Amino acid sequence: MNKKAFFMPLFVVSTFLVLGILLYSISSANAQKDDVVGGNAVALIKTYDEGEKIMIYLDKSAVFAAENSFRLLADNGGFASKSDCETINDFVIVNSCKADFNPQASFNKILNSEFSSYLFLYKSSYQSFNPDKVFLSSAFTFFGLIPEEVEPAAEYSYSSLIEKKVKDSKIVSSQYENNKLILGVSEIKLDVEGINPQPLGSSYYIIKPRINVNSENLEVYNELYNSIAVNCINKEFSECNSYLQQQFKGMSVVRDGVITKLTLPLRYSSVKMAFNSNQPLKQLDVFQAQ
Amino acid sequence: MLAKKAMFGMPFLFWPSMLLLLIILIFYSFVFFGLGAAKSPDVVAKASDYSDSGKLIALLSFPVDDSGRTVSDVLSSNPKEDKIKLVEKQVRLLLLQFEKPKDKNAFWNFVVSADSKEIISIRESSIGADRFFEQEIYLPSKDKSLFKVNLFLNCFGCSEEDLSGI
Repeated sequence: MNKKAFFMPLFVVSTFLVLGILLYSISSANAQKDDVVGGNAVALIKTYDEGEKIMIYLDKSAVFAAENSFRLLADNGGFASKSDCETINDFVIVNSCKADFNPQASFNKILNSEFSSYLFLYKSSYQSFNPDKVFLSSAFTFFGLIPEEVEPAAEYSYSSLIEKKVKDSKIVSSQYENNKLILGVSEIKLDVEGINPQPLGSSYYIIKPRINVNSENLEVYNELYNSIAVNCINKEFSECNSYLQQQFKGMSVVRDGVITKLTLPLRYSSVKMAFNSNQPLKQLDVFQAQ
Repeated sequence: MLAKKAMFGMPFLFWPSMLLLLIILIFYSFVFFGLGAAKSPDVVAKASDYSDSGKLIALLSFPVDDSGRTVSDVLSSNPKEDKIKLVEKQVRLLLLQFEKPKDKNAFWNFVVSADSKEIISIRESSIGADRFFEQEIYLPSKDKSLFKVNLFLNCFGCSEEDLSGI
């Protein structure tokens, strides 16, 4: 047998094997490279961007929530809800309410509930950073040569984590300044998406939103309640009517038996309130002492 | 005699082996250079990955009328037909001012949708064009529902270099 005759086929087979091993070495080395230069910077920019979008969403939500709250407070005659009070033609009879008359506390309660109802809808449009796939990486993963990247379930995805944080935020402070209501929202900590080799949460971005909204003067409610207590309870209707008309511009007063119904237009809402002039008002002693 | 030596005395194995070698070399050349197996992976984040929603946010904050109401203010207050037209007109003007790749068929598109129904659709594209710089935001409506705003560049034949300056 001519041994020289096997050189060429052997050379061909060797070439095939050597090139195959080279392909495997290069591809597996490339597939294991998980550090993307600039990846962390991209993740940080995306987090800032998400923060901006959250701020816009919170701003809009707070404006709508405040508008709705002023309107609801006015409809409820200064109370948080009508459920604790008797009503006549949708007017709350303030003598019948079980809760104390505290328009500011009632407003805060309504505002938090309204604000939460807008935040509950929040949807993030965050797109996770997705570096290009390395050649043959899926084949190596398939054969178990490099570990598979496990995608988190939808509820644990990065955008779901952001959504949960926004939905959980609350109004923590409110103060009035120059006819504006400044609302402080609880801080929202956004973890920066983990780009290899940095894990999720190794960096974070905190936003502490403060939102300006148009405000109604809630002191009017106290003045109105005080006036009813002092000038209308156990007093003649004409006396009460003339006092209220004189004191509050644009007020309409309608008598319905022993019940008197008031409508007082404010800047963004219209207060609707009713009272029984034969029954004392809660906290009457407070006003009488003043 | 020389030819015989070169063939190592086995002419019936030499030519098929040569053919096989050629096939192997062509195959590996294709894998290494054609498919890019020999190329080092792109370990640097692309310029397009850095894109944020700055353009969309700026556009939504632009005033549309004398009262100072912005595009987003109008859209979120469940606007009527005339207000939508006013916003659309304003947005069209603003989109024309956004930078686009030079000497390319490129258009900025703006779409507002709620409940899968498009309220505003400013779309312009050429066949086979790709989408770039996709920007998206969800905003609340006064009636406690959500609407989605999308902004993206539609461009035919745009390369990384074309987009890098935008």
